[in-house]
Amino acid sequence: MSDGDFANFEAIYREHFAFAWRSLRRLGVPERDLGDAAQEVFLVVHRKLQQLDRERSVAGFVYAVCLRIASNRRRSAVQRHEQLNRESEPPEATEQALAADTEAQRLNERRALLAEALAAMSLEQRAAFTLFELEGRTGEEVATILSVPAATVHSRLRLAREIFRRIIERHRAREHFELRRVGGER
Amino acid sequence: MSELKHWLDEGSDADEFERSILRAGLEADPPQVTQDQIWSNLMGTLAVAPVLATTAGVESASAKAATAGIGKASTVWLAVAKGFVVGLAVYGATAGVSEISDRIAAPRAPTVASARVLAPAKAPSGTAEPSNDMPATPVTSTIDEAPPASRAVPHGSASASAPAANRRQTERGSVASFEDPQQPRNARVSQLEGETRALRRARDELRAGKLADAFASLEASRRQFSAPELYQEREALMIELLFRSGQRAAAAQRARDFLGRFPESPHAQQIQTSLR
Repeated sequence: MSDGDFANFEAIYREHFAFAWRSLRRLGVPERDLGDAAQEVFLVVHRKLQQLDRERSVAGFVYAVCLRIASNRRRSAVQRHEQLNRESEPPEATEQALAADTEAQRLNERRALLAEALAAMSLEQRAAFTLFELEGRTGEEVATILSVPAATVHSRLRLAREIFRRIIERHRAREHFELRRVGGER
Repeated sequence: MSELKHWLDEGSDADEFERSILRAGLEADPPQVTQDQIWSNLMGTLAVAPVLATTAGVESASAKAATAGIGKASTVWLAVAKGFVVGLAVYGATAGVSEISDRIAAPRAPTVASARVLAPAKAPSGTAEPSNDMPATPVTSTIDEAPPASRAVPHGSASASAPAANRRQTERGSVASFEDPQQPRNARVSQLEGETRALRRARDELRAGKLADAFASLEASRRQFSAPELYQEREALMIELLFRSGQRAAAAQRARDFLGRFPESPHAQQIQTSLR
């Protein structure tokens, strides 16, 4: 690798590391594996540095690698019969939250609910949803990053939102049922 | 997409509970120390990556080499030429690694390396250039590693009895003749030639202390030759490069991998020495 390539790679790393980290987490890579996965992402980026063309944004390039690695890890996790998305939440954090104030516990519950909703989406829907809703990208930006037409992003996002709402509604129904049951016992 | 609003924006059709769920997903970025730690790991790993990337290629190349050795008559000449070139290249890289290791390790007694090098039986002594007079079947000869002053000289050739300095000069002459544009060429030999040149350049840069250049040369070689014939030689140089650049942990790890995979390699002893 020439000095120029190296400088370019380091610049990409510095600029996109946090984005890659967030993306991996939102694509379902467990917290404990984030470091390894992020390292893996940039190993691939380094290896394919020469393939980085001007037509595709660097963020899109990095995200595509994140997507592939998250997908591979998800597949491996399924093969190992693991509950990948449940493991997205570190168990120690849950315990800490239980021991701490209720606000932290509530935050943890919401994160778990979000993880449940994301887990119900396909990886493509999840990518569109998290890039749009959490990363705050515009539809056009998401389309560029994912190298798909804007209409495709629109479609994926619509389906992802439906799934999200379905999970939320189910959660509300359960909560309502629990409240009524508890209330009835009283 | 312009009609879509982010759910976290004011005025979107998401209710407050849905927004609270989304906000829970806006975790903080990883701390700077994590980023630096992974960068550091990355720098260590990047040098190791070629081993993994080329493993399949080496096995494939070995299989091809075996096939060529026992294969059809039409490929025999190719095998001969290849064997010869591999022999030269192995010697060249061995000498390079040896010299580097000598600098790292304390002066030591001469050792005998069981280096098996493919060489043409009837190759002209000293200049040993591929020619149409070569026998169809390559034979193996042994390289005894002599003290530094007379290292790595092929047995069984006429030059074996010459003074060490002359023998080394003769070997250098052989390498030089390898670059003769008049020699027969084919795709296989071209790859070997390219690999040999790349490794020789990396070795020279390593000797000159140009570590970044040496790394660049080895990296370029790795990229150019996905199924290398001189994998062990390149790996041996990379290990030395890592040691010399102060990446001792990565070098040691890579050396152990190398010794595990190629315990009979002609470079094994040198690498073993550099581990101590």
